[in-house]
Amino acid sequence: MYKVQTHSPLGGFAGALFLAVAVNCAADDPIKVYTVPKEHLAAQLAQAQPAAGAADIPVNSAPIRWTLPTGWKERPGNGVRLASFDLRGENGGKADVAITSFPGSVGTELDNVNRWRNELSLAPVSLSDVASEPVTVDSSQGKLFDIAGAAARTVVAEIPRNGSTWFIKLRGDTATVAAAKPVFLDFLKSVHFGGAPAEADPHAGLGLQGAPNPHEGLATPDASPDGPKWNVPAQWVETAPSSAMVFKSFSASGDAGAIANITISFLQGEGGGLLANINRWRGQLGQPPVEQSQLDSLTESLATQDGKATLVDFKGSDAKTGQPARLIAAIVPRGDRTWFYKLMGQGNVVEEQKNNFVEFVKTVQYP
Amino acid sequence: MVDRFINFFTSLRLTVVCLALALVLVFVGTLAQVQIGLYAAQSEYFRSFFVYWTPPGTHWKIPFLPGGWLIGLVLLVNLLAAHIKRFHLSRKKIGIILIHGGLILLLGGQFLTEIFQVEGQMRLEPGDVKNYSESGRKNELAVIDTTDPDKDRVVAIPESLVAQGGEIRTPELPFTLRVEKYFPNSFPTGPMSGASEKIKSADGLGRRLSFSPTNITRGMDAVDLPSALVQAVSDKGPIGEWVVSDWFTRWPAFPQLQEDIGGIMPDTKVAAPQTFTFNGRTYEIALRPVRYYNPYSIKLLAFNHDLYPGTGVPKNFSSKIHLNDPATGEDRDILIYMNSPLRYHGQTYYQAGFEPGDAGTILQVVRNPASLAPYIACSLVALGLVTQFLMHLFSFARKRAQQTKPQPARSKPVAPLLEPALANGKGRRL
Repeated sequence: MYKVQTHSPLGGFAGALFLAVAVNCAADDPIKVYTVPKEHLAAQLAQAQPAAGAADIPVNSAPIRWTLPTGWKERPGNGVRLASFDLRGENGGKADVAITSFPGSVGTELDNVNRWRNELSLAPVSLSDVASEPVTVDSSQGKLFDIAGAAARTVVAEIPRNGSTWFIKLRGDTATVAAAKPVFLDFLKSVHFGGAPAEADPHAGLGLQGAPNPHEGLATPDASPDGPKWNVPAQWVETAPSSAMVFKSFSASGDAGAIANITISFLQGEGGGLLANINRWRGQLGQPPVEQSQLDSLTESLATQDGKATLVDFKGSDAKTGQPARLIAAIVPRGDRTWFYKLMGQGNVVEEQKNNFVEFVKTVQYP
Repeated sequence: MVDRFINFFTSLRLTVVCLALALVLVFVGTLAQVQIGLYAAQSEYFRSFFVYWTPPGTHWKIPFLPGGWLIGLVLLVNLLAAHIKRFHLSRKKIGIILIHGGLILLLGGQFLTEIFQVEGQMRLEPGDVKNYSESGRKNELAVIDTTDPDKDRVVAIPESLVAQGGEIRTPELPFTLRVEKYFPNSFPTGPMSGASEKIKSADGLGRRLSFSPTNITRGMDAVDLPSALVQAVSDKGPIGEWVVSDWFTRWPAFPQLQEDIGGIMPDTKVAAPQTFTFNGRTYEIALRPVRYYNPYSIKLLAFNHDLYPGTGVPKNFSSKIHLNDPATGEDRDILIYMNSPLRYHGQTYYQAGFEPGDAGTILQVVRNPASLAPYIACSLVALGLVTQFLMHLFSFARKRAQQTKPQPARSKPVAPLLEPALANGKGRRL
């Protein structure tokens, strides 16, 4: 019979605990200090720092719907990409489809083509060498570019729509992209922009990896069945929103062709907060940012029909044109959203429209 | 006391307890993969001395189960101790000793490999020169004094310290770092995004790019991309605050992010260093993959991705590199290709991958001080087996020769080829 030795349980426990603590203390890596020669390598990407006070630009955008082709694997968007898909080709080939949307025209067509060529290690071309074919996506006319490199190929649909530009890009090794192109063209036909997505749609409210999409239902200016009611002043003329972020926009004319623009947008929650938005607007006027402690002296409270709003009035020069400009804006938190009203333009027109603007903000009826 | 100690480490009961604990560990560690993923489960349960439990809301680490290393180590000690106590050296047992010695070396060598092996990657595009490799998973908060025109002084703070949050004080830095926020895994969000939690900063890239937390990854092929909001504070007040993120430093995250924002923020370069000055010295701050520096450099001359003619089927991947070591005078071109790695200075460089479009090569760099142990161990076991076999063969042949003599003799049964590995029921031998 094997004889079992007995040991003091306390001693064993104490020993184990000591070892555990000793190991635990040694487990964390220490802070290391060393000296290395300078890295004289060209950085992978250029070295410029971001410019101070540049205007914030929204990097996600309105809802979009599609029918997922067989064999495509959807990946979550990343805040910049609204959606990504993985494609597998034969012999281990891979390709990737990305959907992005940016306000404005996003550089010239030549810039974009040369950026895509650069990704394929191809030399830049001149405008006369840029080839494209027309493509229609959800009744919007766009252009389809097909660029082949040595081993990889890119097919991009560029679709301007309501002041934004959408890019739907297929990129991967040559064989996989060649095989996937017909499916990609069918996919483009299945894409629908904006509007409240159908309830059954699996991509309804597509956002950022589970984060609420602040622009849901904001795709097009007319997609506002539950929008607020307001009385538009007679001098204001409705204009096409300059970006997918803008819910409604108007313009008002003054003497000698001077113009002021009125834009209305909203975001979920606080929409970034008062300070961030005020500094964003100050940036648009080339003004330095302010601190939280300065807000009281820069803002005034405005009583509206059903609650309070915050009004600001800044002067400076338009960061885009360099012309003298004035900006009056109101921030109105209502329910789970925050509404932003902005009047911006040359000083005299803004002064003329100030009363109209304030009255407009005060009398908006929210759903 | 000493007897009790010896009896404890030579007891069969300890062997059984260790094997039972190993069973429990494998079961619990397998279940844990559901929650924390394969890689984290391997690290916390199997590549550790203890498995710790952290009560919610604290930084305590309370051990509740021995880890894989401790169980393996105790088993190894148990085997050695039993061997020393019960095994008597004799010429007849030389084969058995060699076999067991080989097994012990195999166990010990694997243990050393687990502890000391360092694995990283070196990514090079043609013309690039590098003297470091980068960890595939580990990160560090690097604060680099770049004032000197010839060299940089790096203070590398492990991610585990950053993850604890709060203040990091070290005599190596003339200021204190304050970790305001830390996300173990994150994704970039736009300035106007409505994500409920996000970090942005007053200085550097975080003015325009902000990050929100997301779940840690579950698979072996995906890596976490942590982000943190870090403030530098001196005794005179704040120096600045920055968002630091693996999204700016880890390939392929940063080129992808650059591509994605390229159209709307053309002047924002995500891989650009974030710098600040303090007391006349210039510093860079970055959360980046842990770097392992070498005293020599490697330059990629060319990367080739050969296909079988007329097909898209890969035939061969190869990297032609130039090795330069000022210390030894080594200065030569080398071709690394599949199954033909470069072994130099205790490190092995394998052809591991390539960038999309064959733009560059990715070499796996492995430093394993115990890399020879398996070869020696297998040789010992083989030698022991051959010795044991030959000894029995000669003994058998001798007895057969004796049987052929006229005197009838009762032969003993042939001894088993191998001695039993475990105790024979009386605890006398292994």
